[in-house]
Amino acid sequence: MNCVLQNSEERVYSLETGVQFLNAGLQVIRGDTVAVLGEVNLEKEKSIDFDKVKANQLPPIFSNTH
Amino acid sequence: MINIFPLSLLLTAKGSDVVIEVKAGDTYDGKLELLDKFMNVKLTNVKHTSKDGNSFHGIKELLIKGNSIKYFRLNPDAEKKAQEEAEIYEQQQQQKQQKLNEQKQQRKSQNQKPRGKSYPQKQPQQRR
Amino acid sequence: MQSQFFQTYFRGLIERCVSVTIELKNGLQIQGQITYVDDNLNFNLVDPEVSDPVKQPQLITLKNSFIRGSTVKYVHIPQEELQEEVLISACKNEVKKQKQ
Repeated sequence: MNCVLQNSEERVYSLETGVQFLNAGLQVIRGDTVAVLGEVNLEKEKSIDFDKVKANQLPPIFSNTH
Repeated sequence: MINIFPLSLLLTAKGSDVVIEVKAGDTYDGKLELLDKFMNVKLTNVKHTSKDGNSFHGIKELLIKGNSIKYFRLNPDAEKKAQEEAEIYEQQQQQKQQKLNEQKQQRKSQNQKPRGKSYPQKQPQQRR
Repeated sequence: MQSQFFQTYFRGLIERCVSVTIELKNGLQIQGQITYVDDNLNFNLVDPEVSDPVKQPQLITLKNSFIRGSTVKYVHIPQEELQEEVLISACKNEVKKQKQ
């Protein structure tokens, strides 16, 4: 289930500041690290002010190998 | 848009610089020399950064096991190269498909019986 | 070949368009209608809704989702859709099959 992502951006969530966007361009993600994959509703995204979104990063899920 | 399988994309990136983050959190920035179907990777001239971003190492040659990789980041040059290769691959696939379609049509026209003539029908074999 | 028991049960839920809440190992809870399940118990959910959008806002903008089976802790099924007797008899049959 490996993925190729084009024009990808990484979103870093924190409790103090709003969401930070890091541009990651073209990347290949290994399938066994993926938890959820989904199609984004771009209109909904436009209505959200990401500067005000404050939350903890989602805790990682450790599989049996790592 | 690049329409290419992940491993094929990585094969096109051979020879260019990649950044690999492993599941342990460390990052390795180096030139991709070799890749196999398990995503095992050989890198050269590697800059290794630890998970906390505090320690750095320079490593000449490095093998990373595929199952320990989290993701690869490719640089823009690799992206262009991948786009070109993906387009070439798609063209080849289209040509193959065209040939197959032509062959199918040829077979159909050979199998068609011409009008006016009658061919002996195959009789089911009678067993005694 | 591994048992198809759970896959068959979930396929039944798909046919009845049941909405479930999938709880992942990291605490994330996603509610949605199941549209697909496979051998590895990966799921496709349509119109996924996160149960706590304030604490976990990361996925609130998804239209549809594919959830990797290995990350699932629980699948919460509403009581009225559970069909306990069907499930219990299916379990018993499965146990008999495996003993053979």
